[in-house]
Amino acid sequence: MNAIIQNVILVAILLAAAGVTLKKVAPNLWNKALGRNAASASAGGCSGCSTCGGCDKASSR
Amino acid sequence: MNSTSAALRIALVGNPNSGKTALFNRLTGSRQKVANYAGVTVERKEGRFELPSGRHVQVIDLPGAYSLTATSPDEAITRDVCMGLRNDQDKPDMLVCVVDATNLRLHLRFALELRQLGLPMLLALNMTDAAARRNIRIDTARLSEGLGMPVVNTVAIHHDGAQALVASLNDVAPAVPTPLPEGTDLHGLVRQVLTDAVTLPIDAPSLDERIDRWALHPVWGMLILAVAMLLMFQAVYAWAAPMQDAIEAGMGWLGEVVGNYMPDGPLRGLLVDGVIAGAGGVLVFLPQILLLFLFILALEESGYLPRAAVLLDRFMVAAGLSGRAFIPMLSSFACAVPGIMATRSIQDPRDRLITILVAPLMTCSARLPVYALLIGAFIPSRQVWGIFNLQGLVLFALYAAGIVSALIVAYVSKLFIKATNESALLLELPSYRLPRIRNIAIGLWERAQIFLRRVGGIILALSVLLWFISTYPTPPADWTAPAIDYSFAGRIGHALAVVFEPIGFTWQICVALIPGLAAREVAVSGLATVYAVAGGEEGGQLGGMLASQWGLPTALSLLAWYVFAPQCISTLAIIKRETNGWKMVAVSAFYLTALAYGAAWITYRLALLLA
Repeated sequence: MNAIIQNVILVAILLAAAGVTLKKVAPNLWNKALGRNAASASAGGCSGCSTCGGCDKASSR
Repeated sequence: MNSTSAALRIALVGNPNSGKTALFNRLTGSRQKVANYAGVTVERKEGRFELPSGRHVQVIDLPGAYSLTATSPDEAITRDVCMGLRNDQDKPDMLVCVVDATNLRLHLRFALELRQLGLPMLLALNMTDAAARRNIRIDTARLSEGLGMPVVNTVAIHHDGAQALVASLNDVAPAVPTPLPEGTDLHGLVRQVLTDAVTLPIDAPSLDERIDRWALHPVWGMLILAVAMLLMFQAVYAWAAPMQDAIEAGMGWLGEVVGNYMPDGPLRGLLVDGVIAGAGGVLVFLPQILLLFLFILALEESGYLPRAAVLLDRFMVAAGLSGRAFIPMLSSFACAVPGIMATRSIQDPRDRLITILVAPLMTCSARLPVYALLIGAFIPSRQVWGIFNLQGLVLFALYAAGIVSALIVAYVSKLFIKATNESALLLELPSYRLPRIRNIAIGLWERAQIFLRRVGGIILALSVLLWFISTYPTPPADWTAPAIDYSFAGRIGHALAVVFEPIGFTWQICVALIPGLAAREVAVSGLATVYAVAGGEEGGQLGGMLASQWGLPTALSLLAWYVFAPQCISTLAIIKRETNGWKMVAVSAFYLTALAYGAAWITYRLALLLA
């Protein structure tokens, strides 16, 4: 594989990883960055922990 | 007609453990958590479904309440929604009062209280199958007449168990029951309705009572509880091994294939050392997590857990914890976040605060991979007293250490936080029932999804970032030390090692602790990545690598650290939200860190001494 392509893929993966991490550790900042309403993101009591996975499942249906 | 504007808003209300959430799940197709004990739902949940007529129904599942005179934050939610006191929620168009058909004497009083609100209402007579099995005969026509509202039979856990309710909502325009005269004796009216409409079997000791003679016995009950817990932790090790070996071998094979077929370069390094060794190293623990939850779900379904709460109540009272703290603490074994949210069912603010402070000490499932890795690597798998496996016993001891620490911290907190009143444990004991395989299978599937989402999400992301900081900057031309020492991770690790050296932590552990702030399991993937980049770990043999690089004192010290494990951003965030300020966040972070460091130091020094 061409070294340039490898580096492009690498940077893309790193950026994606940074995005996922930001979403986890600073959900409010993440929502703000995407222009989402933080209140709707926390409906149903989600604290962004990603552990239980079901806090706002029902309200999103 | 706009289906949204015409949607019928119904609220599911009733006593705790009457099956509201099970009915909610049945109606809306959701999978909200249900269990065979009171107090599982502490927030309102919303869902929608469509009636055969095409009309949409918006369903609000409310926390269980015994009365509209709220005594705890979760009961206040129910009261406020029913009475239209919330700004963010319109008053429901209709109330569906869910009652347990096997326990009408308790549940009907609240139904009569709700009748006074002047809202259209019907009664969902739930668990009618269980009532029939116990020879409880209910004349629904007379019950409806006595209560002054329509009554429909439901069995929320059965596939077609909500059909009668759906048909009723579809066919009949909701009616407002006539309010009872002021000052009506609700208890007296319930007795009258029961006499007219319900035939109870001749009073004989039920199966529940016969089991409870043993299960709630102060001595035998404790023994049964201890055996159940020991079995659980033994099984986590004994039964998971074949599956773990298979996943480990799969990861090793994948690492080899990718390593052999990809050209040398940073992308190969990322895939092999970051993704496969890092995130794959955590995936190995899926079987153990599922086995642990298999037991927890089976105990939840059976109705045994509230009995365990009764047995442990005297210890909790001695430590200054409210009996109601049991469910939040139990929830914290999965994750402290829902556990801390569950403290809303605790009436007394002081009790609630103390429970919030100690909930993170319960061993959450994110700690299990760390425990499993270190126990597997450092504790020999040998029989003790002929029946127990030493690894299972150590795991049991770590969980027990968390519980005992929580009781001690609660006791000490009691000295600092002034008591407002004493609240005794008033817990409704549900009937025993055989765990339903379908419910357990769904529960396990959801746990697996949650774990895999974490592995594929935050754990993978942090493994990638950790690989990056462990690889860059690359060493200079005249490098002599290991390449990783020149990287960001190497420098950070060596700097932090000064602080953690007294408790035996290596610089690699220090590096792994940082991403562990976001998710505790990342400490495992962090160690895997750091050792893989350093060239020591290939294809998922992290345990063997650690055993050859660390001494037993270091491993025991890290285990002790993780009993208190202060590093979890989500837990601190939920403490901030639930206490509405930073003070308790600071208190929690400080005391947990101090305890973790102190326990690790004592463990390390003792282990060095004994070694």
